[in-house]
Amino acid sequence: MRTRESKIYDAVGHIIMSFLSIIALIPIVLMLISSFSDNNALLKKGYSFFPEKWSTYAYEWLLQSNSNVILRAYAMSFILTAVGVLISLTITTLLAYGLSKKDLPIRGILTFYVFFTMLFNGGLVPTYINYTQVFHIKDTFAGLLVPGLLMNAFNVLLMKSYFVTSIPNEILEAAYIDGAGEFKTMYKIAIPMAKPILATIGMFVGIAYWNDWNNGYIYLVKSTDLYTIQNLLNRLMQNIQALSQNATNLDTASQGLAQMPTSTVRMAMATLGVLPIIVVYPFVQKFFVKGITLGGVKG
Amino acid sequence: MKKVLALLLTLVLVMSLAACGKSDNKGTQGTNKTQDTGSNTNTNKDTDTGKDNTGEVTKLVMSFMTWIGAPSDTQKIQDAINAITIDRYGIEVELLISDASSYKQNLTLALSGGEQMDVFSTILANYPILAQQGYLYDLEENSLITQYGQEIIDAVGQEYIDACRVDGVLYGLPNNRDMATGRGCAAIATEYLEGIGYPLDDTVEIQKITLDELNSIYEQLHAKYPDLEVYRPVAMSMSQFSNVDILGGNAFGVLLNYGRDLKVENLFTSDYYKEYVARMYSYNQKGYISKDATTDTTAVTELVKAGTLMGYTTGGKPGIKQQEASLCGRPMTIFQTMEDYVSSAAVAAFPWSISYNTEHPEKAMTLLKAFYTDSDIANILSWGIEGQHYKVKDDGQITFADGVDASTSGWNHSVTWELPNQFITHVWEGNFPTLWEDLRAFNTEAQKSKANGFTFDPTNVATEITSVQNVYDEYQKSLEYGFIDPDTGIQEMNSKMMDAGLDKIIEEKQIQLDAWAATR
Amino acid sequence: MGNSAIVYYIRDFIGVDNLANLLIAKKRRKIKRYIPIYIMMLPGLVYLFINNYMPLPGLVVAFKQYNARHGIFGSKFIGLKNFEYLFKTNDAFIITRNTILYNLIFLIVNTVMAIMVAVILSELRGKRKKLYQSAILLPNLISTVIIGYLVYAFLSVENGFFNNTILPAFGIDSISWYSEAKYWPLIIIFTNAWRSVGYNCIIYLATIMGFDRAFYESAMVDGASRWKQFRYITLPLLKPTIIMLSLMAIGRMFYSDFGLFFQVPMNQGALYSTTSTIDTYVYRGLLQLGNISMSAAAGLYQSIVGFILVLGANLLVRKLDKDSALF
Repeated sequence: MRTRESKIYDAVGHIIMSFLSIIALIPIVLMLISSFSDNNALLKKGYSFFPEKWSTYAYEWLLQSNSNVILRAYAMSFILTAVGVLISLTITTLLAYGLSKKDLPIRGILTFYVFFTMLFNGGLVPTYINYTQVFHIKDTFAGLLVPGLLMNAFNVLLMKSYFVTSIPNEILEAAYIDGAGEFKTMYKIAIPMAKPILATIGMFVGIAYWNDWNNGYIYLVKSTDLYTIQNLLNRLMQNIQALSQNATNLDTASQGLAQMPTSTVRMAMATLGVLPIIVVYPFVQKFFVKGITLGGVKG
Repeated sequence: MKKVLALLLTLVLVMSLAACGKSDNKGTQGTNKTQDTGSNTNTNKDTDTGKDNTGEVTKLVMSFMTWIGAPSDTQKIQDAINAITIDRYGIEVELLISDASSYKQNLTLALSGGEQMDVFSTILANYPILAQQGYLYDLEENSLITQYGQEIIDAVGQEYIDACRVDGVLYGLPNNRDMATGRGCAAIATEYLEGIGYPLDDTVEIQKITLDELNSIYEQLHAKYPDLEVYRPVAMSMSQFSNVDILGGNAFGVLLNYGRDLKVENLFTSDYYKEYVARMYSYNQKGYISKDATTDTTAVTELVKAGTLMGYTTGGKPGIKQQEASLCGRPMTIFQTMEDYVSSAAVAAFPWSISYNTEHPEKAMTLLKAFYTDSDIANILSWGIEGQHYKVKDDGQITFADGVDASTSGWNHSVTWELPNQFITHVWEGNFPTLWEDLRAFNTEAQKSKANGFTFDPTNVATEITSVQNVYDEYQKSLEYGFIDPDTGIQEMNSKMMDAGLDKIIEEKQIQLDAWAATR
Repeated sequence: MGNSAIVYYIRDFIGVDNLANLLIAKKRRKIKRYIPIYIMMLPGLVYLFINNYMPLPGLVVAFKQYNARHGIFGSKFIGLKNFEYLFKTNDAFIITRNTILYNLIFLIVNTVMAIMVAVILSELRGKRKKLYQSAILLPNLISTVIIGYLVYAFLSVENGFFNNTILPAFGIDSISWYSEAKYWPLIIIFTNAWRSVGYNCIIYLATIMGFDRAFYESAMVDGASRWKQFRYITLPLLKPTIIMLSLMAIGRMFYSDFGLFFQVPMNQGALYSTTSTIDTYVYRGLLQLGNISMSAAAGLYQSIVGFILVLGANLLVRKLDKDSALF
């Protein structure tokens, strides 16, 4: 039975969450409306929730001249995100599980080894030289997948701490004594109990891959057919930025700016970048919530 | 105790890792060269099948920027160029085209990483700094240029070649384009001028008027069209509308009065700057300028196209009227209030260079020579393939080929001015047929800065420059777009800049300029 | 080449391993037992080695006058000269202050918001819960440049939503938002919270869902109010997570999100006193110079300060609550 008190709490909860949701959505709605506005009206009156004139020009332009490019970029985004999440979750979990073993010799050192990478890296040029000259990932799919994103110390430490605090060592020890090997113990006992954190990290990694444009910016020069949707969008934005602010010594910068797609097209592209998430997210979330509740019940 | 041990161990681990990482890196760097050539010849064989038997074909990588990246027909263009260059010069070219925002990064990373990148435009990458940081090949080493590229000198002229020297060494070749700029030019949409009944002169491309006249035009425009924005300044308006010579790529220490004297002065205390800022302030007070001018990133030409803006500054040159009209989608009138001028940095603004680590300097020079002298391939690079991208009209000028337009053409980059020699290519319709001769004459007749060809090495004052740059960024738009009172604003900026070391930069510039002048 | 990296790694790994053996002989058997664990950890450790440790020697470029011809290691050594510009300016105080203060406020605001949202979401049921969660996560998927445009849509002087619709409704005059520095701490903090609360609450939500429900059930039997449950059960159980996330945030105390501080205020000079941070300062200063040594110096400076801060904070945490420390 739900008490009166908990009903009030629930009502307050709904109010707060509705409020936050609306605040989160308003600018996104604005983005959507802008993408369906007439460009000249937008330049005259600015971004508006009630545009003077509606237009589907931005989408027509995008689909007419670039539909192949955009579809391929979507495909790349999905593939990249899927592969990235899969590999990242695997190696992150394996590492975090090991680090969570309290008796593991040199555990402290290894933890530090991991933590250290959260703060230090070689910087852009050495990292680039390393990846291109030693591992030859320039203009390959690996160029999108590997640098920086495949695993990060933050996620490892987060997961490690979950293993330490939420999965009692006694259960694992018992399984081990029963004759299950280390790997089997992890696979059969620890992983099912760690579903909430797996879902969380999976989500973090997925968002990171979906949002990333920097790797494409640095490692894809020739293979523009590997561009993800964020690469497409952000190149555009960066170009506008570069021309309007940096190229002050170039008389012809205005020519370049004039070649950039219009404001409404930019908004349409941004919308296209978020759209799939709106479509896919409920499914992801179902999985996520399931993971969390399953883990919760067992924990 | 245990903790200390653990920490020690960690240190040992980290240091040994670092050390072995280091040796590893060194090892690879040592072997880079051989490894690279290895892989290069491999790719050569892969892609050259069939062409290998013609003798020695050298594969070179050539890089430049277009505003939005490689056009969709890049491969076609590359093939068309190779169809000529392989037979005529024994060179196979790979075109590597980046967009405006990533060009510099792609270029410097590729050069730092030892990737193959033989010839490239130094546009947006700051040529003198690339030279000073060792990215560029000395073009006179073993008399490379006279032996393999004498025709380039003939095509652009020795004077312009010499203007590209950095500390006396030639690292780049200027391209043929508008070196001079008509200073103090304003572009105003013709229909509004007709609206106020202003007498237009159709016989000239650029109408010369005084600043007072321009001000009165603005006043009339504002009175007649109070809802439209009269004038929109952009970041470079101040230098476009000045007789100031921006020395060495930054406004910290400049030559005033068209660079007639080699005296480095502080722009921000000059009368010119005070007058300019005061004029913008009065424009703003009168409501000529949008209140969003500092934040809006929409191109001025797009605003004119949309019908919200009437005029903006531009750099005058032959062909400007047609250029601005096509950008704005309506007839434009160009006014000029000052003189034509070749600034000290204009010639060496973005020369073509050869990479410091190229394997084939002779071939690279030969390729450059080809683009400077061979109109067949220069035309392909500029305008594409005849019949596919452009067609020659009866009057000899060119236009889009049948069935394509600006948006559907697969090779319509509009950076022909960046390419080595547009003077040997076709003239696009709508221009005077004598466009290239006009440009040449324009360049030679314009006033020239005495410091023409001077390059500044910022190494000694790098700290001061970062600091002063930040101060300038803080005030530039507010002042130069007329949003703050010039009396207090200029003074405030100046005192901050002085604290940040502006004096030291000016002093250093003067020293380098004197040393440079002494060698002339 | 990839192989040699692994070889180096293994050599190194075993070397340290042996050292540990000598020191603590007892552990020998344990190590044997844990061999499968080490193997499991290997891919992750190797990745970090490749991604972070192998390029690390390149940091020496921060002490060099970089010249492409001589490479990173062959360039001229110039000591700490590349670091000077970070300190020899009057803005050094402002950019450091802004960077630290924003990070501290973000830490507090984001943590409080995230926990609040996570607690509320954990107690709600049904379809709307999913809707809320989706909605608040969406802002995180929009690039900062676009966020900059959206903020501009609200704050533009002539056409902004605030100046045209909201302020007139209250009879307030137009405000030129982009030239008044005083409003920006609030705008930036709000934008940051708006963008990241949905993301930040995920981790807390997952942690709360992992708690044993038995605690709450017995509390409810005892008649504890929701607030008391939160105060005496949820919060203490969340403590390790809060501490860990805070420690990690402290490590990044000298960094700032470039997009948030550069693109959202549209790089407006008039706003620098409250929006300039170390990252934007470095970007603006080096744009023309293109000096990779100086930008490497800035990065190294941020790393080292963050490192010292987090070591200090960790030491403190370990004194207070050993289990919550990072290492």
